[in-house]
Amino acid sequence: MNSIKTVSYLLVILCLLLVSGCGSMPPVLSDAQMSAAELNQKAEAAFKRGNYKTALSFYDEALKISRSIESIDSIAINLINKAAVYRKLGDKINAHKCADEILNISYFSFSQIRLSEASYVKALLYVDEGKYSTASEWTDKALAFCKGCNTEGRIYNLKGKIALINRDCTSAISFVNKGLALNKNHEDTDETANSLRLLADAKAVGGEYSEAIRLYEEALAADKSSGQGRKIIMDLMGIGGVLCRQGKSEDAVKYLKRALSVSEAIDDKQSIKDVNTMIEKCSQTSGKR
Amino acid sequence: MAVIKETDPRFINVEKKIGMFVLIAIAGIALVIAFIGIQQDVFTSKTEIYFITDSGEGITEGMAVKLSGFKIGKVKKLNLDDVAKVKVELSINTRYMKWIKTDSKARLAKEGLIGDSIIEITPGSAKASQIAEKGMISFARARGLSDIAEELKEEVTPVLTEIKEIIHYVNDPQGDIKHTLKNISKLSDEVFTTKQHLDNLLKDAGGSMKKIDPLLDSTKKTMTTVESMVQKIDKDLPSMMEKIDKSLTNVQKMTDDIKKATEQSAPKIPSLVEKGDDIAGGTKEIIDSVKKMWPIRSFIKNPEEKTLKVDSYE
Repeated sequence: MNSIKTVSYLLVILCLLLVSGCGSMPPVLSDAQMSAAELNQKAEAAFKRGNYKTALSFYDEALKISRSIESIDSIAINLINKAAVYRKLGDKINAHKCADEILNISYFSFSQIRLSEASYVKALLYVDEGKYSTASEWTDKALAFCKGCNTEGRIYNLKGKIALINRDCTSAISFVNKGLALNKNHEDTDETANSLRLLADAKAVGGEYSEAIRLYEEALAADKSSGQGRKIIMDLMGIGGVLCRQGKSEDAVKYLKRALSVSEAIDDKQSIKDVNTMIEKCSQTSGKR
Repeated sequence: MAVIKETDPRFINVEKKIGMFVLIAIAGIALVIAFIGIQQDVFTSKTEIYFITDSGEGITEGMAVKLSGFKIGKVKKLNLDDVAKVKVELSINTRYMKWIKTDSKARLAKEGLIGDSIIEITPGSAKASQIAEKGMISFARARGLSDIAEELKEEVTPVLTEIKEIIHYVNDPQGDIKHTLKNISKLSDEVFTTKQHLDNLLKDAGGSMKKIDPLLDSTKKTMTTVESMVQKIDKDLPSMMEKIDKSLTNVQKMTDDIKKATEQSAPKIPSLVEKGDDIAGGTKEIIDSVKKMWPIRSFIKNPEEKTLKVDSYE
């Protein structure tokens, strides 16, 4: 009896396996779509390595393919990415051009999410240019296009950052808290750390030093887990700055030296310069005291 | 609870039914065997031919025999004969025998750069007669990549040695070229000094007639030096020209060698590249097919285009 049962089970399992084998094939991409996707991935890898010119050439190629097969979403993706790369290269004109192509072309109906992403890039470009009110308008547009999309958290972070630049701590904290909740919900570790750091910045400006340090430490832990060297420097500089303001220069210098060590390790010349300036200032303040 | 009785209508003609079922099953199995047999050319008429080779290296039983890219048979057997040569027996599908003529040649070749080894038979000429059953076909080994590389190395090494010698000859501080250049430099210095003297002479000509004598002496001295230099150059020139001539001959020889080597290797390069391309294409095709197979396909995700995560803090 038992052997019959075992055979029956085996047959059922075999049938299930065969049935699963007949299951639907994943959508098959055409050669052109496949090439565009591969170029997109190569470009992303180059971007992450900081090799922006290579990334740009890959995105260019991917965009050409997308246009040749009129793949609308792919065109939008590559234009947004090109805008982001141009921004990193400091070419604001071309960055705006790429984003505008998505926002202004009427004969393609790009999806709301791509329109939101393009608006977000525009907002970032205006922040870089110091045009904070225009940037704020673009963040609002980005939010309007993005209803329930997973980039909402970072848009709120940017709104919070703009508010903080304008010394509006209350609005900044409100926006960033929204962003924090959304980023946690979408499990976006990098943007969650950004939210924590922005909150810490806002608390530090508001004089809530111990809360600021706690938030910076939290952001630091998140950035360490995702291996974001530049963000680790910012967190350590944030803590150093707060401690320095509290008059705890010795402790502050310890954190700043950690920031310096990370900056040297990733060969970030600007950070090395900034951290050294901070160490000098903090030491001078301590000397005066 | 119903009891199954022998009078149950389901048992009527049950033996016949079982018999039919078994017969159908046997017929099915026979069909499958026949189908596999046809696929494997088991029922195809074969003709045996053979070739003799010095070594059986790279030849194995069952290896495919191809003609114009078509598989026409296989290596049936390898035997070592009385004079330690290898007799390779080929089993050829009879219907392809019409293309294998007495002047056909067999050779050991590779399918692509890293592909399987095969025996490739070239079709014979139209005039030649068909090879007979158990007939012999001539055999040659195709040159491998390592043979080509070795040949290229042999061609290039003397050329590089010649270049090295020429560079050494030109760079030798005690050599004719350096020595001649030194002499020319010295001569030009002397000529420059003379020019300066002449300039001074002309400048002072009006009021310094008394100085002409020493200047003339100096000029004379310089001219003597120039003369001796010219004599020296005149003396050195033939040997120098001879050396230059020799160098040019060496360079000419070297160019000829390079040209020869290039001419010999150039025709092979496109086919090598083409073969490499074919292999890469084939490999990609295989990998693509494997990727589409169940259950592998369920573990492989199609590459997806996505936007960059543009950081809000930076």
